[in-house]
Amino acid sequence: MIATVARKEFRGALRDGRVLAGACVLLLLGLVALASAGARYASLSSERAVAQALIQEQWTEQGDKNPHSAAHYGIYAFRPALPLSFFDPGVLAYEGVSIWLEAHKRNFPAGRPADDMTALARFGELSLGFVFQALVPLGLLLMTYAAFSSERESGTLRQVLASGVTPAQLFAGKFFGLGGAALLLLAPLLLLCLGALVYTSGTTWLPAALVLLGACIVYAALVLLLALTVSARASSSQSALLVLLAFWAVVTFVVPRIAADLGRILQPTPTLGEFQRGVEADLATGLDGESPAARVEKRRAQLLQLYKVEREQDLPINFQGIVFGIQDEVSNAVYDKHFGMLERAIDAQVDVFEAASVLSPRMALGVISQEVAGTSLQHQRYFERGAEAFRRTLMDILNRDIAMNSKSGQANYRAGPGLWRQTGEYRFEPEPLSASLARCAAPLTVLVLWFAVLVGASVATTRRLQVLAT
Amino acid sequence: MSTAMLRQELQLLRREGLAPWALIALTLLLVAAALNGRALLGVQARTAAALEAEAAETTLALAAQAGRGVATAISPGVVGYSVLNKPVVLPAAPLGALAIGQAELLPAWYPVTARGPHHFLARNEPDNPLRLAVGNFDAAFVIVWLLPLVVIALSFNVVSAERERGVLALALAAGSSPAGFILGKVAARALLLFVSLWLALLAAALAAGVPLGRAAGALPLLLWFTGATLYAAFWFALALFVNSRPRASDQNAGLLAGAWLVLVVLLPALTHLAATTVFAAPSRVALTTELREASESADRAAAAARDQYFFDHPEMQGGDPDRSAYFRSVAESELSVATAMAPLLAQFEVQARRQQGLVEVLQFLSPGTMTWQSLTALAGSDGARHREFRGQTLAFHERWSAFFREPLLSGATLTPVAYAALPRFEFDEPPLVSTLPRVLPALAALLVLSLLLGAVSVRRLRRFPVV
Repeated sequence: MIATVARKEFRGALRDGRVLAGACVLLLLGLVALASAGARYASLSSERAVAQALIQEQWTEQGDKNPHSAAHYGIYAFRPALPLSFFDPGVLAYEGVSIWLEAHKRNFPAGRPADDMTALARFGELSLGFVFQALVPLGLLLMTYAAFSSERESGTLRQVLASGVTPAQLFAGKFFGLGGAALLLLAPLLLLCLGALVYTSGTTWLPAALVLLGACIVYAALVLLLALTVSARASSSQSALLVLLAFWAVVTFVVPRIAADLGRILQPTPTLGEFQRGVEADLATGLDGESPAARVEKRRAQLLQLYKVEREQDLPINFQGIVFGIQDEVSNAVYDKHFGMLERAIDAQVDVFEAASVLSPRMALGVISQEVAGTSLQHQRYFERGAEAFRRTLMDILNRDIAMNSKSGQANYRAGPGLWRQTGEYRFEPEPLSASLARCAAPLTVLVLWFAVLVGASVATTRRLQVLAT
Repeated sequence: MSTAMLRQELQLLRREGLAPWALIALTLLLVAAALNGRALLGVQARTAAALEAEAAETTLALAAQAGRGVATAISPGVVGYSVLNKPVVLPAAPLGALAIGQAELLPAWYPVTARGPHHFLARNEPDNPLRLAVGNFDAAFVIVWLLPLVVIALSFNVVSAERERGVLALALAAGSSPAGFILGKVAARALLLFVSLWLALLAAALAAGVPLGRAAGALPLLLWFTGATLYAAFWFALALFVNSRPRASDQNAGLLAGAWLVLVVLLPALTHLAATTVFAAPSRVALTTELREASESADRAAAAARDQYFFDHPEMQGGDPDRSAYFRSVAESELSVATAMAPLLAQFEVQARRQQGLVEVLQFLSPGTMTWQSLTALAGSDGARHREFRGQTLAFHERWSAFFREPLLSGATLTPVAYAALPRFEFDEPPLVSTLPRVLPALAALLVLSLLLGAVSVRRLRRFPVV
């Protein structure tokens, strides 16, 4: 019986001109989003790869130099554009794309794309993620809001139930029929997206894309369940529509904004001034109460004793290389502390945001989408930490070269391309999908909870289904 | 429309329950959004004040040290290129807390030094990118996104419900004209909403700390009221237009919701997409590599002085070595890099203006975009005020930089008198009249659109089928 109802709903939806028109509009918007994001991805991808190669070339061809001058010259790490960013750009526009890796300092990423956008960017961007996570659910609501209510108003619900079908079978039939029709109508766009992904980046990102697709389908099913339940309970089609539209607007636009700003009010982000003052104070005194100068003196005494000499110039190594190493040890610890504090403050804000996703499954889906697409805050952190690890290794190599290959006081010491090549090349390796999924436990739980609640609500509704219009 | 009819309509709305709750929710949301905006911008104001106080304290200390002949304090190189940061601050705009817009994204202060502008122009406050990507909950958001939904909730069935219940036929039988009867119902709803909106906006302005007693606050706020009112009027006119065809109430609601989606969500997003695609900003990545090329070629000339300086690291070693050769090399290379970078940085400015120009044309496609552009322009957060700030900062930087570069190159030293003559910065606020060309056309277009829709609807209602 469920299959019969599903077939009828499926055919009815595909014959409905409004549904077909809506699907065409969604398809068109999806194509616009796909074309613009695809072009942007291709341009960013090649641009950053070229820039990284150019920076590396500048590094290896910087000529003979003192290694510490080279350390101050530094190198840049660029964050490559990942293929699924064309689906969900996530936070990419609001994070810098390059980091200057230089001596003694951990710099913030620079070159935030949002700085070069119009004020309308704050209005929202048309991305494929937005189409699938906001517009498709809206389309489902508009397609479904009258599924029960209009049949009740016209009296056909009574006739259908009199034919022997139970309310639960009718509900399940409508769910599968309308869901199947929606899936069929969106199939061209979905296939086009998957085709574009495979064409541009092979099959590496296909598993992530399928997870993303699965999450979107779960959310769409959840919306469908909600719409059918509301339609079955509402006193009229009009009130069903109003309730569903209000729900959609609130969970899509209102709750995320309130939650995001509430997080900032509850846990303010340290300002750049506070951050810099904290770093400067700790650099001057050292974290463990021992100043960098005192550390240097202690190490100097240890080395003089070890090599049984009385003057720094008599050491077989260049003590200045050791000094740079000590300064880096201190500054690394200080930056770890302050970047840690900054990250904890932002994490606390994100926690508020994720907690609020209990009220808005759309937010939970957004978190999953950004994680799987590699465009989340955590992916940005992964890039920053990788770049910082490279910086530290680079500085270690340069400091060691000074210490081992020159003598104390030899300010005119120069190193050449051999050393610049020895420092290696910065390469970004994206996080594996498993690491991204591991961070999705909370939002997945929210989606499952919503699903469970809605299944419960739909069962309860079908048990007490009102057959006649009031 | 008679007063009795108006009173009766208002009573009906009160009894229906939806209208009072919708209006209370709108008021609460507006006030909460204004408080939120005030809290967010308050952080910027406190930060700026602390930075200015700190810089003033540092300057005083340096002046005192210069009086005692301390080497670092009398050296224009050390002070200008290494020690002294002049925080150049953009004060909060009077209506800033009502529309955050670009105000949180673009820097509200620049740490100006004698070094090139590329050092300070690219700085950003650390922030939660997820929050920035989601967008702010401010009064402009409530007006542009949520106010239409309240209008739709109040008026989507203004004709259809009367028709479905048979009240329209009864009213006409009692002698009312269809247009007069329906316009009366719409007018009652509009009046109720406008009065509630004005009261809510006044409460929001007070909550946001808008200086109502000063012209700088009151005049733009008056235009804000006008913009919000015209925007609401447009949605009432659109609801009337949709109702002027005999359709079921749920169909009307669906149509109006679709219109909201297109006008408030899709068209602004497409306008933004068009502006950033047609006039794409120059690449920040390319800027980075260009900057590096320019720095490298400028630094080659100064390589020997750099090597010695970085190798000695006098600021980390203590002591008081002569660093003037190093700072002269810095001054020369900074000037050379700044000269090389100026045309590239100007390209960003040019593209930003072109993007803005295109948005100002395309805004007429959507009342949502028009209202957003007007509200953010009046609040000083549409990017134009920041561009002005950036321009004034660059002009100030020229003076600040020359103040240190000239004595450095001539071998002169800084004295307490010189510290007293340090260039000062005060943002020269553009007058409201300079914002009006970005606001008035949009408000006029909203008015014309509302009148047109209203006129067409009235014409249609004259021939409206009662049953």
